[in-house]
Amino acid sequence: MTLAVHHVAAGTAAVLVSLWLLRGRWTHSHPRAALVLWQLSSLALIVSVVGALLSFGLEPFGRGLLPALVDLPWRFQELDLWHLGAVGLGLAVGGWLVVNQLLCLRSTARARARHRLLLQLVATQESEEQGRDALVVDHPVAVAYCLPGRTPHIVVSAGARRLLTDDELDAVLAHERAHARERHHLVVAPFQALRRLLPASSLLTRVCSTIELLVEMCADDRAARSRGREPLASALERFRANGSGGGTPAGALAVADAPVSARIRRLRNPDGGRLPLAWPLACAVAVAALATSLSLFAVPL
Amino acid sequence: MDVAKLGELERAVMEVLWARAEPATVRAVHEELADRGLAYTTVMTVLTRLAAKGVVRRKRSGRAWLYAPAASREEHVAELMLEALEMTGDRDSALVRFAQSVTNDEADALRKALERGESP
Repeated sequence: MTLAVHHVAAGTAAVLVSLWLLRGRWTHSHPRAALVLWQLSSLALIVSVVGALLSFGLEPFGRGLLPALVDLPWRFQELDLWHLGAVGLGLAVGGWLVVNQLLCLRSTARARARHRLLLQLVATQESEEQGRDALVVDHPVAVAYCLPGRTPHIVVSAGARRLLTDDELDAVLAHERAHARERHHLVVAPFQALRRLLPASSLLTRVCSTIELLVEMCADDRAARSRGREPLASALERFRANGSGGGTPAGALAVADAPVSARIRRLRNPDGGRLPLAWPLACAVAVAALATSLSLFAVPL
Repeated sequence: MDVAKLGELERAVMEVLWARAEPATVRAVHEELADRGLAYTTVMTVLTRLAAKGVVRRKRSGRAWLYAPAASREEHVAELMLEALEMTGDRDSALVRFAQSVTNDEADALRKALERGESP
């Protein structure tokens, strides 16, 4: 039972850290630190949930988790229904999480390959003399995005080029290059895959949008360092104004207002707040939780 | 042949197909690209690759294959834009974006452009 209790404690610690992250005001000033903590605590939570189920179920064997799992095919008749159920659930949850991640990776890779092919057929390269490396898609709607991959592509629509001044466009391109260079798609992908598993979960949706926003803020920071804060802020403002135009009520399709406003605000008024003292503490808690759960898998008892 | 060159060729071949009203044989495409000095087999390879990728449809006519674009250039642009605007219904996105803004009218127009392609 002690094993399962350790996992539950680790999971609880991870949940507490995540709740702190969801409510924290400081995360917008330190998106990178917040992202690291999100990754640590989410991983710790998942490992400890699977670990708690397995260690409760395998407890009658009186061994470490991995050796007990190896024994399972020969000794499962020694377990009663409750324990067997917990083992089954633990294996199913763990397996499904891994399979789901792989399926999502594959479907994203396919979508990207298709997108890359279409870009190659219809997009034009921005003229070289301005030192820009973006692809331009000839369409009046304003978008700018990064297609990640081994050779990432930065794409802007003709509408976005018309909407933005030269300085603003350069800042937007710097933002997209930051996404590409820092491999932000790899940060977002595991959370998006989780959400796909439970699409109805409003908590997961909220966590996902939080992660996406933090990633945008990381890219904003990097772009602001090379191109200045103001062009980026005014580019965001133009996108926001453009989206709510047309006289229609801002539906789900218009640019999501609150996150963009938060980004504009922090670009215009960087508060330069220090990282909260609790951050290293929370990191230590998350690392300890993760290490505890992981080591309970490996250490034979 | 390096990848960039191949990509550029695929694009040139698609442009030939888009410019024609009717499906074309390899020979016809080869003739239209005569100023590039390509081998006939190169054009054939490119068309076969494009068909495998689903952007070109082919059907047999007598002894020759006829090739036609699977969708117009505008439909491809609409598909790219819908994906860029997260309007494909698939909530995991393959892209990381800066910001997006689209009015409802523009969104409807994009969807219609794609639907036209799907039900010819």
